[in-house]
Amino acid sequence: MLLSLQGLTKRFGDSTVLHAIDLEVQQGTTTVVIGPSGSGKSTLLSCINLLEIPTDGSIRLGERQLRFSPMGKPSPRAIQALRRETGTVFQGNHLFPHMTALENVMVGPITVRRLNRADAQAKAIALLDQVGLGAFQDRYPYQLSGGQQQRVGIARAMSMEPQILLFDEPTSALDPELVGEVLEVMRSLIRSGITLIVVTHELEFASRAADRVLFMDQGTILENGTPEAVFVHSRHERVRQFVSRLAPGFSSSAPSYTI
Amino acid sequence: MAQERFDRILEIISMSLMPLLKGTILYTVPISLLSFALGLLFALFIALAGLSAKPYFRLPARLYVWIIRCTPILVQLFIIFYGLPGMGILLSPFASIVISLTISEAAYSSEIMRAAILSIPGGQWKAGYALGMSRSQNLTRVILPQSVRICIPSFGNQFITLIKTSSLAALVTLPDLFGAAKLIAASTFEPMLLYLIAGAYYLVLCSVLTIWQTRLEKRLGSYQT
Repeated sequence: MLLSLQGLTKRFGDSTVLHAIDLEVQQGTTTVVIGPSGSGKSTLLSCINLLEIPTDGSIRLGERQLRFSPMGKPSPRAIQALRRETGTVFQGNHLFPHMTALENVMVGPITVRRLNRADAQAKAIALLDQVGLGAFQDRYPYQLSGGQQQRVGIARAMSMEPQILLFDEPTSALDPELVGEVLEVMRSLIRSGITLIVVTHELEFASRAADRVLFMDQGTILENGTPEAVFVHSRHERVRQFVSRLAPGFSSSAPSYTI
Repeated sequence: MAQERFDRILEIISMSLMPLLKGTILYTVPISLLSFALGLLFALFIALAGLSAKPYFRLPARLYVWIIRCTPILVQLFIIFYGLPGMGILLSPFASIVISLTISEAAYSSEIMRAAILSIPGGQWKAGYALGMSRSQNLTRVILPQSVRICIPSFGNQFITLIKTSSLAALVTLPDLFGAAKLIAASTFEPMLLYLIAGAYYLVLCSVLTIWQTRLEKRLGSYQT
């Protein structure tokens, strides 16, 4: 297993957002996380890349393991070390507006991995080519469309050569006609064998691209299985309702409500 | 206007030219530049301390800003120039004015910087951290370069205000632009004329700065968010 979470819990004050999550993610697989808003999907990602520090439980990613307890946080050094094994693509892309596309993809390797400029630039150009933006390397984020910005965001997340890529609703903030190009880049990543965890509402994408689908509800993983098992054969009424509401006619013929 | 009066005015304008220019070049400009540069440097540390989560950094910074902003520069200057010698600390007039201007500049500019840093969206911090940056790397590579652009218009204002405030140097005996005008006004009994001339000099000086500031803003503002 590349990533395993054990008893991962996150509390904000009195409210528990994640209830002792257990999860295993295999190398080279794509895991799609779906669920209603407020179910803890985004918090789960934030706890894996440690932008939020879990309250309890443990995370193992590759060789590195961190345990958390309400008594105290791990050291900033340990947090950074684990975080560097992850790459994150945000819903709002959060590109650095004062840097060109190329500089956005170079800044991590130069600053954090101490790569020299020439090597970092060669790698950044290759990554931008990979997301189809080789010709746009000198543009600033505001000179790019939303879909292009998000593709730069993907290239930037890959620039640190992470073991796992986390996508937090990568297409939710995009105009509908720009969603396709971003999903296409994600499919090509999947084909190249990278491990992905994707929080999304794109059920169509999930059903075709995911190896596993997690359905989260109220801070727990309600369902964890193949796309077919979750979308078509789920035992849970909550899941069936959610799926049919988001994509009518997509799940089995099960009615979304009963009389 | 009588021909005689007109000649007198021309004579005073031309004879005051050298002392006023000398005051500008030797005192007004160096005092302003030096206080501004030092002030900005200290302001950065005060702003960062004021944003720190650690109270032993934050509280002294907030205390400093509070005290300096709520007391007149003139009072601070007189404490330094007239008060400190009583405690055995004797500073030159030049050092006194530079120190007092630096102290107040640091307080005001630190608030500008603090506000600019706070105005950067949280997603920028997250994106930096997600790349594995430390807090200081995130600050220097991501946050401060964006904050500086936000600060430029306010810094322009600060510098123009500082040039004018530097005329307080005359009150600690320095013959800066205003000090020189004051001396000539006293010896010629032409206060109206001399202070009008001095005002015109300040006007030219600050106008040039305004133009330069506008250009700088245009050059640095080459991206949008």
